[in-house]
Amino acid sequence: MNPTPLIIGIGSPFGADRLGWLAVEHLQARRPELRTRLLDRPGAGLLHHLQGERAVCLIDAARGHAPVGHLYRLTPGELPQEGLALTSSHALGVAEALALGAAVGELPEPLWLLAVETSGCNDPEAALGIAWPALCAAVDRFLDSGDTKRPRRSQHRGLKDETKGD
Amino acid sequence: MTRRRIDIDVPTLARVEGEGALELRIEDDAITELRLRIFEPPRLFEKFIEGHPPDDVVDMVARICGICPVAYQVSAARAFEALFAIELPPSLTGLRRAMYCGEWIQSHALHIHLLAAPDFLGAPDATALAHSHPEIIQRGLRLQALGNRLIRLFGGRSVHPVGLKVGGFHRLPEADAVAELVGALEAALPEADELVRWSATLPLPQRQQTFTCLALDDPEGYPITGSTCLTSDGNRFSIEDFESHVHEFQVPHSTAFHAHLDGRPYLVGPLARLNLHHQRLPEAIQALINEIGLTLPSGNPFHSLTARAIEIRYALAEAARLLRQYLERPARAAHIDGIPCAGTGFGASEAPRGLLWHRYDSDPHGLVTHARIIPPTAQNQERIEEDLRLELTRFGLHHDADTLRRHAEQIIRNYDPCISCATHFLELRIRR
Repeated sequence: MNPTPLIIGIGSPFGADRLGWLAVEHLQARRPELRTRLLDRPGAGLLHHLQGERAVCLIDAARGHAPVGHLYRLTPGELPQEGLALTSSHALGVAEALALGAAVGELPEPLWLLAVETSGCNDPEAALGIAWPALCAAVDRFLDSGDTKRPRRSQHRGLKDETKGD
Repeated sequence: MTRRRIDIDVPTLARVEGEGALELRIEDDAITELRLRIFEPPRLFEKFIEGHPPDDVVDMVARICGICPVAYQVSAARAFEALFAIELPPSLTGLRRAMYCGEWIQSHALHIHLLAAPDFLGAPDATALAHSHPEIIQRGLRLQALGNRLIRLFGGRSVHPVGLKVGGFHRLPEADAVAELVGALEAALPEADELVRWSATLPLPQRQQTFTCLALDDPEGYPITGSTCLTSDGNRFSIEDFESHVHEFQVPHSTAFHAHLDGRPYLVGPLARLNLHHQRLPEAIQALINEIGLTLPSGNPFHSLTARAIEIRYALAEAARLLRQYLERPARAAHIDGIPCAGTGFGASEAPRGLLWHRYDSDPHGLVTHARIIPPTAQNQERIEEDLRLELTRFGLHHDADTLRRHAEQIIRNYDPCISCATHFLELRIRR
């Protein structure tokens, strides 16, 4: 079991989906001691990166109904469950992988998912710029608190709202 | 007498790769219309790789599919190697083959455990199966991870790897990493043996159909690459003559081409490979096939699942053997350079879903002037429609629409169609 918390950026090297990577790169520049990893659309492979980890924070781009740059904080159980009936292995994303991980009891505790709203915005730098203060604060809380805090409810479709802080 | 007409629309066929639909019309207990519709807009890969140099093409075609990028890369690289008269030494062809094994392992493990197994274990989907049979999902994820690890060893990453190039690889793997992976591959063999035995216990539908199988004939053994095609009718032809045997044609209901082999539907993929080449498997695997009582060649399309399990077992052992060979006799160079020239090159390999054929024409600088790619799912579409007609009729068209829809989805899923490769997402409409 690795005791050092791990921060994983999920996405791809290009386009709006690059936000997760970009966020982790900026966080690493801000706090070089961070233990980080970048994953390119890992699908079910995400579960292997979670094995043996004590505490993990995932950062990804999200398409919801909040303004661009809004930061959501979710736990695996709060991810959308509709459509988890895997219509295709191409469709195996973070929600599906975490649902499988939860079902087989292989998720670290704590596991945070921080997601930045990018709907309608093709510029990940711009969306990240808006989310940056809230993201830094959330990551600091993840690292410092040992996840003893429970997030509060979001106004956006049941998601945790981290943009305005606790 | 009352006439009966039922139209069934299944707008979403679950657990297939990509997007498409099935439309079925049944009139007086007979299928009068059956259309496997693929409606994803054409992806135009063949057009936009024109003007690019070969090594760009090898990386570009990997983007056609997130599940089988190695197959696209290997078929493309082999086409340019043939065109530029580059002959890879056995050390490099062995490493290519080992990398390719990784793709079979990960793709087959995903299909068997996450997409197909729920059909036979009474679960609506993989997440439900993970609750009722967590050990099955865990095995699938372990094997998939091992396959991905093998791809990463050579390609840097498992999705759209970047290590392959025309003439070999950009770099050779480190001996320590190879030795560690050999250990992991060999340690997984007992689990793969159990997978094959387990696959034989699944309540697969028992039926017999007559169909033609097509696969490459690989001088290295069980087919992964090759320059000659073999059919179950005993025909043999060069991949350079592929276009004179395999005729692609358009149908109004699909944005992917359909294909006939010498005028008839045919099967490519794991069962076609196993039917044609089971005698080339190592003795231990042949003994396993005897132990589970599988008679080959098989006319039961559902034995595709068993074939995938057998191919996982084969790929683990084959990759371990090839990597051991590399440790004993390392390759001298990561790649062989060739001289670009004008001409036409052909390359083919056995993607997890079947024979994947590429043709490239180039100018004197080696830049692509014309490309043609025939993926396995496009080749299997006619066979899938034929199987649906036969099997739904045998199953009984009197069943209600939901039962027919579920059975039709199972039949289609058995081919593990990668609709995104062929052009995405299956929608089923049944009308009576």
